[in-house]
Amino acid sequence: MTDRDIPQNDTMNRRAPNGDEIARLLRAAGPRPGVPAERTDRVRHAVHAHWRRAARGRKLARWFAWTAAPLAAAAAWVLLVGPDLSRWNPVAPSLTAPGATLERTEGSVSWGDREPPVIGGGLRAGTILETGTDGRVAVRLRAGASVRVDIGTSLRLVSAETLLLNRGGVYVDTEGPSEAGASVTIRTPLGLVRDVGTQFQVRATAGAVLVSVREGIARFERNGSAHEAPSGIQISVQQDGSVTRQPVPSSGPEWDWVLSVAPDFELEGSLLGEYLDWVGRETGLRVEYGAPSISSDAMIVVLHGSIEGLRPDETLGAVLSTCSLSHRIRDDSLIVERVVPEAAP
Amino acid sequence: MLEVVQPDRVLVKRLLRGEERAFDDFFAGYFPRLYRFALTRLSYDHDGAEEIVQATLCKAITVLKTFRGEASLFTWLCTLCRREISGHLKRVSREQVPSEPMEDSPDIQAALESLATSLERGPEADLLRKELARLVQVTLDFLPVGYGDALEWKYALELPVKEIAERLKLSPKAAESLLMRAREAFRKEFASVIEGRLQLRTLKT
Repeated sequence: MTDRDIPQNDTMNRRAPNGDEIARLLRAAGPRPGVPAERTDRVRHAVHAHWRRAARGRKLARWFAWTAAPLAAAAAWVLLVGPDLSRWNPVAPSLTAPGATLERTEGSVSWGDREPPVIGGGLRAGTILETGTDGRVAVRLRAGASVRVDIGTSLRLVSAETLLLNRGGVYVDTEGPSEAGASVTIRTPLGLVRDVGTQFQVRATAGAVLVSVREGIARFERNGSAHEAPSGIQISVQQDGSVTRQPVPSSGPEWDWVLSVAPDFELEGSLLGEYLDWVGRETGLRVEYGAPSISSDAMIVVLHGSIEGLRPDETLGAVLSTCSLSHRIRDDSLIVERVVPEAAP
Repeated sequence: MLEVVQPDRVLVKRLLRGEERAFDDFFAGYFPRLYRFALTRLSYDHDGAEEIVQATLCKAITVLKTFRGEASLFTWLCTLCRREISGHLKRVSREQVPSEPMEDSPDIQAALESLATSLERGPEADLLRKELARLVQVTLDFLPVGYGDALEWKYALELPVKEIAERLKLSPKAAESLLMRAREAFRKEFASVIEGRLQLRTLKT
């Protein structure tokens, strides 16, 4: 609308105010109400954190596009029990670079004839590790997968993608950035277990292999045949080749040991949503928000502090309380709620 | 041929580049105005306005690349804010009718007649005066960044031009020039407000 749209002979309500009238109007109106400093600071902090992350994300996206390294996520736990694999001819290690990095150890662990590596140190192809009755280990394969080794396990790192499981239990989670096409193969006495974008567990018992899938699909291959286990299913492969299936929950005692050797999560500077995603992934629980505003907060609230050394499930109370949130578990869901109900308008 | 880049688009580019100063300018220039915009439409629920504006600004940052400058940045933010408000009200299933500011009402003409009359007579219709004051303040918020502040400092707070210039980090002469442009912008914008066309004008650059 322009001045020409306003008839010049109209009264003030149709004529744009002149300079004096503007002055009168503005004096009469008074200054606009400001926003309380506390609210301004809160919003500024949250929005700034979001903006910084968005800026980092754009830089990271450019880096990934340049290197052609797409993000991928999967996790698998393979339980393998069977005959002694020492008579097998493992794949000759051909890597000079470390095939994995040690992330965490607990209890007694032996490393064959090699010096025990330090946390953060590299593990070369050919590394053998054996865990005692109280020993557990977490390693990160070069391709990105997280591998956790249960007590009483004998395992050989064949390459950055292949493990040889003699006895005991191994959990594999191929979450996070990984090289294109990378997958993890677990060699067992009874056959191969491959991940197809999953969280799964493989355990070797006497004369049987149990493959329990928490998320995605794991494939068991033997003598030219393959058996796929989708999420929520455990397949049991017997010595005679017979295969049975049964449901397995995604959380609970079956997976509890995995939490005790979970690599630490870098809480400082992470988003609430990232932290909850990590807890959900580690515990197998589906994160649900008690209110949409909590979901919004999860994308913008930045956390501070450390949860080093704590199991993922042990961190919930402490972390959520700092955000005036609480949690409860119902079936396979982790429900996040506000401690104080939102004020009614 | 030179391309004249609008100030809003310059600010957006700087934000996308990650310039810290750009964020300061963005937040200082838009947060208070957006807050008042939301507050009015949420029946002056301050908690709700804070939540909505925070979500709006974060959403804006997420989709900042889509800002093309066809509308002003503030208009664009208000559009996002309206969606957040709408979603918020649906989620909380409020029984109360969401407040409809006068400038959004199609029946503004009758009210404007009363406003004009009360202005001519002086301060007797208190409610109408308050609404007029609010319309003035809404108009200030919809002016380009800096204009509303300059006019407010000059006329509502009666600050000298020298101090206004210092606040705007301008020379006194540049501040006078800005005040002149701000008055002109206010004049046109307020005319639109009282004619009930604020929504249509928000599409202009």
